[in-house]
Amino acid sequence: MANMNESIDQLTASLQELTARTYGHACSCETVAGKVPANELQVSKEVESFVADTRAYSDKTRNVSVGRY
Amino acid sequence: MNFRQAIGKQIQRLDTGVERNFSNFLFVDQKYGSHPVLRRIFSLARKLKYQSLLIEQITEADCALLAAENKALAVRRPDFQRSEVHRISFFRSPTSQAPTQPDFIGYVIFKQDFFSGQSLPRVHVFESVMPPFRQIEHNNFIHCQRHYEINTSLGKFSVTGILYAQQNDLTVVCAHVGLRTALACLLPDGDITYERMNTLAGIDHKTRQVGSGAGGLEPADMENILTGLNILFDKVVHEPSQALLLPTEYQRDLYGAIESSFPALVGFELDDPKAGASGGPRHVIPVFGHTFNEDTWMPQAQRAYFGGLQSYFPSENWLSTFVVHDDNFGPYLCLPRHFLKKDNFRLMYGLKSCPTTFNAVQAEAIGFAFFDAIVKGRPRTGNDWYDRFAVFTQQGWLVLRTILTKKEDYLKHIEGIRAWDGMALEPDILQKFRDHLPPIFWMIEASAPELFNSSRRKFGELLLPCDKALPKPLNDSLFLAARLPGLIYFRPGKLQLEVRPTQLKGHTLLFTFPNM
Repeated sequence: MANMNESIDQLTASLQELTARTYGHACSCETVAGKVPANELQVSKEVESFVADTRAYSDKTRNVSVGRY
Repeated sequence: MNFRQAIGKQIQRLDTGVERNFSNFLFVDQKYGSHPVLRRIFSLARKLKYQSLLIEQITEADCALLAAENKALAVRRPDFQRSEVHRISFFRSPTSQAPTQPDFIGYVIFKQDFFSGQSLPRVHVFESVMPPFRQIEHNNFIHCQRHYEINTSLGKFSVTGILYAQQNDLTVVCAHVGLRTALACLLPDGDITYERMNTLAGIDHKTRQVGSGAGGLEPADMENILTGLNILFDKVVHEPSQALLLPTEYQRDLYGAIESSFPALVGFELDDPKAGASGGPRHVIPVFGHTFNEDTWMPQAQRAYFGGLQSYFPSENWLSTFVVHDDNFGPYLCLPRHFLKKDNFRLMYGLKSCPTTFNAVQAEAIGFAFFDAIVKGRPRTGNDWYDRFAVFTQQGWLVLRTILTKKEDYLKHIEGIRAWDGMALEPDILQKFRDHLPPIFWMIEASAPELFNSSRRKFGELLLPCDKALPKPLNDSLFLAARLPGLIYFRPGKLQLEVRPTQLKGHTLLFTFPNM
């Protein structure tokens, strides 16, 4: 049997963790208005390189005209 | 004057109900040379419960467009003699009743071109507009339908659908008709003439011809037509013979275009064992919609059994088929998502009505990065639905759906959304969005598999500008706002994000276009 349960197990465990804390009761930590540094919004290296690579390919093929339709 | 406006001369009015033993096959066999696309259109009319049809003859005297088409044909083929054109309209009412607007289904223009020395005419469906049989309740989504008025001898009627057309392989090839369908979705008039397209592509039928013996349009011709009409487009190329290998799957780009309600064109190379170094013949079709399979096995199975871990599920995973026209086979055909593989795929144009500096797939990746960063900064809030959003983000189980959205449509959407406890966004938060959003932007909706595919609901959405040059490295300057369960993030200035609580703490409906 394929071992594909790790990801599901992690998701299930995290959701059970949420459920274990007084589900259905009022939230204990109300969010209040505030400000956070904008640079908390970091972009991972994987996303950075995915965007760079796909844009580079797009630039490279912009003027390509092959075949007839 | 076009074929829809032309005054036709009524030549036949016929009851076509099944109970009258009317046979589509027999009628098309006897009257229209067993034309396969006409048979497809008649079958759509049957599915739409047609009870009668009206056949009218259209002449050059009544239709300037027909005169122009025939003039071009005469230049291309000096042996061209004349044409005979029928406009066939389909009605849900029998001939004994005067039809009203709800009775009108759609129409088709059937053109027969006669040449000297040839006993049989060359025939094709010049155009047709039928409504799609399958609608949203059948998980069929076609966002860019247009409204057309038809002036028949029984009165004026209207139909909403996607214009279909066939090539004649003399003055018009598959690229023309594909472009015509796609452009009809965007142009103010809902249509374009082949004469205009050929002028823009530099085809005069004398020094430069298309069709039989001359070949089709080159991609550069198609781009000249689009550019000449001020239509913007994203282009995706896969040309193995030129060592240009698309690093991603074109289906994601295609879905990105049509989910934002834009049409696209997909070009592919046919399998041809006799093909030389230049490759096999090519064909292009317009794509303008998709079907949705809410119970598909693929998203999770792909990840668990066949692929590596992904950071999120693109909503495109639930796409079942693309809805296309094929001028060889007829309108509203479903192309299974992975049937047309990269081996044959060569070219895609995603048309768009405004400039974008990055595409839907790139916007989605950036959107995920920001969702992830928000959760890293605020892993839990104590609100169950925010915390579930955080868990699905952290564990790589988010479903993301990316749409190019107009501010007015988004505002209407967030004004209407409610959590299941009935809570809405507060007026001051709505005003903040109203004051600070640009006219158009990328919206990346975040959901969970079971929330997305069954309830069609979401945790929230994140907004990115669509016309801003991408900074290097990518940074928070691309962030406009995010709406999550119980929390709103705005970026009013350069240095800080404003975080506001909201009473809307649950999941809400996914965005739908106002015309759906």
